Parts: sequence; structure tokens; C-alpha cells
Amino acid sequence: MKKRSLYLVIVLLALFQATLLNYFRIFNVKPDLLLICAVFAGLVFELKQALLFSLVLGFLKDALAAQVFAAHIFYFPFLAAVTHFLAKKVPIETTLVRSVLIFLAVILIDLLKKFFQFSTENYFTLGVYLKVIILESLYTALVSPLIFKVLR
Amino acid sequence: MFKLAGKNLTIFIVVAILVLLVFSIIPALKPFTVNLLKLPLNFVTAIGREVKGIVLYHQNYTENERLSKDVALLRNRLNSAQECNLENKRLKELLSFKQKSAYRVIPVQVIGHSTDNWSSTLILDKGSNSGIRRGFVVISYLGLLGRVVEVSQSSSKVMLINDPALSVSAINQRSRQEGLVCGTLGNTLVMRYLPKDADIQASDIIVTSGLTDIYPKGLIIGTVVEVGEEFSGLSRYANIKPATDLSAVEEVLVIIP
Repeated sequence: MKKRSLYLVIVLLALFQATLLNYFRIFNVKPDLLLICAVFAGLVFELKQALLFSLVLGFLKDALAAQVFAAHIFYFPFLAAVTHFLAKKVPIETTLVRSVLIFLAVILIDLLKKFFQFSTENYFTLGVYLKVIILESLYTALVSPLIFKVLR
Repeated sequence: MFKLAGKNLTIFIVVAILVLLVFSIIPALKPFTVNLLKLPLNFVTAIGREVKGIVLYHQNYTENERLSKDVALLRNRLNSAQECNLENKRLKELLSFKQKSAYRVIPVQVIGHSTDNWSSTLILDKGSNSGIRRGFVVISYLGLLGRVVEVSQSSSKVMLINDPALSVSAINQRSRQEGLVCGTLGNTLVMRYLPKDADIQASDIIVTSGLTDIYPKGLIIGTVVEVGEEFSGLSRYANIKPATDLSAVEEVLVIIP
């Protein structure tokens, strides 16, 4: 897909994430489509492009969120860079491996959020935290093949 | 060695400046981006609503019939309540009670929801141009929804009561037992800090206490579905079903104090 179209697609995915995806919630949890795009960028693009692309993704996600410390603008480029370097060492070609990668990526980002964002404020009980983290990673991993197809 | 340290220091300073720059720019860019995305957000939400309306046609039809009956019934009750209200007003005037001014509300459409699973927020299609300010309380026709946390010229963001970052001082309508209602990100809320001997039971209605100036007194939060004991054994908690289905909010009312 051409780069311009790709940027249009991620804006559409951000809109979808903020609106219609709400109808597809499972136990109040929805998949993170923009995170899938960040991993895709790390797998497919050169490092510079991947960082720029994921920076836009992070900004879009932060713009539509209402958190004071919305740091996806850092998390997503970090994730894209990690994926990029990982893809150089390990072949990440099959759908299954990619889904597993997405599964782990969601857990990694959620752990980072927990570490940096919520360390001072104990908002979440362990039950809520585990529910969200497990469901979100599974749901996002299951949806990822579809998003990879759209982005191809 | 010294050269390397100097180079590292330069990189560190550049990264630090970049981080600071990004953090200072983002808050300024966020409202602009949301305003820019407002129209497409509105459009996609409208499509979603139409599709939902078609898919759930039969359910909507039967619900409409049921609600029409309810409306007729409630109109009758409202009439008698208005009579009581007028009587109450007259009696208060007789007793020279200080009347609190009734609040004004603005109806606002919901055009988006939180993009992640760690917060529960709504994006509204009106902002400071319509008189909405940060901290204003948001309700539905059924009860309390949350508070405005971010405002731009033509849109605003609302943190819902099931967001764990939001807590509301509340009381049990029946027993007047006080507690703090907190969000759990799910479809229920938790009322905490209830004494061990608190008079609270399933189906009790929980309303805002009005102890703080933030939330007007008497807004319905929800109904108690379960009462349990905290792990420490020192206090109790109550699970509350919100009066409004927080996952399917389409129109809200912003209270202008």
C-alpha cells in the first residue's frame, strides 16, 4: 500500500477505534488496532519510517484519549523499534508468529503503562488489571491478521 | 574518555529537550486534532447508529411500544409530583427557606469513546463555545454519568463514573449511609468505606451526597446489586449497577452551574 494511503488508513482506524469498535467490546474490552499498526510498521518499514509512522499513531491515540499523562507517543515508537530489531534476529513471517508477537506487545505496553502511569495511584485492583490485560492481548492478537491484511 | 562523556551528555540533553518539547506541544495539539477529527467522528458515529437501528429493528420496535406505555404512566405520576412540588414550594416560601437555584442543562451528542481499555471516557460534540467548562457535571436522563475533563472550542471529553480515576461522594437514599463510589472499568461501580454495621442492602438506590460542591445533591448514581465485606474485614463495600448503561450512551446533558 502507498504511504499516503497508509496514513489515511490509520486515521480511519483511529476513528473506528473511537466509535464503532465500541459495539464490539467483549467484557468491556476492545482490541487495540493502532498498536497492531505500530507493530506492522516495525516489521515492514525502515527504522526511520517506522518511528515516524508509529509517532503519528501514538499521537492519534493520545489525542482521542482523555488522560493527563497520555504517553502512547512514546510507547508506540518504542514498540516499533523493538519489533524492527526483533524482526532482524528472528523470522516473523507466519500469521501465528505475528499474532503471538501482538499478544506479547500488548502485555509489554500494558506493563509499561502500569509501571510509569499508575505506579503512584493505585486505581486498579489486581482482578480488574488482569482481566483487561488478558482480554485485550487475546482480542488484539485475534484481530491482528485482519488488520495486517488491510495494511498490506 | 572525556570526549565520549561529552557526546553522551549532548545526546542526553537533546533527548531531554525533545521529551520536554513533545510534552509541552501535545496538550496544545490535542484539542486542535480532536476538532479536526470532529466531523469524521460525527459521521462514523452516525453511520454506526443507523446500522445499529436497522440491525436491532425488532428489538427497538418492541422497546418503543413498552416505553410508550411507561411514558404515559410516568406522565400521570409527574403530574401528581408536580402538585407535590408546588405545594412544597409554597410551604417553603411560607417558612422563608432559602431556595437553591435550579441548574441549567445543555443536551450534547456523543461522538466518540475512549480509544484504550484503561480509561472510560466520551468525546462530546460541544465545547467551550457552547459554555462547557472543565469540571462540569454530566448526566443522562436516568442519572449521573461523569465530569468534563478536557474542553476545546467545539468538543469536550468526559470521564465516566466507571473510570477508576473518578470517585463520587454518595449516600444511600433509604438509610442515608454515606460512602465513596468508585469505578471499576466494568459495568458495575463499587461503593467503598462503608462501616461494618452499615445499613445497606440490594436494590437500595445510591445518589450523590452533595457533600462537595462538584456534584449537585440527589443525582441518581445507581442501584445496589450486592453487598460484601472488604478483605481487611474492617469495612464493607457494595457493588452498584449504574442507572445509565455506560457502554451505550448516545446523548448526554451537561449541567451548567
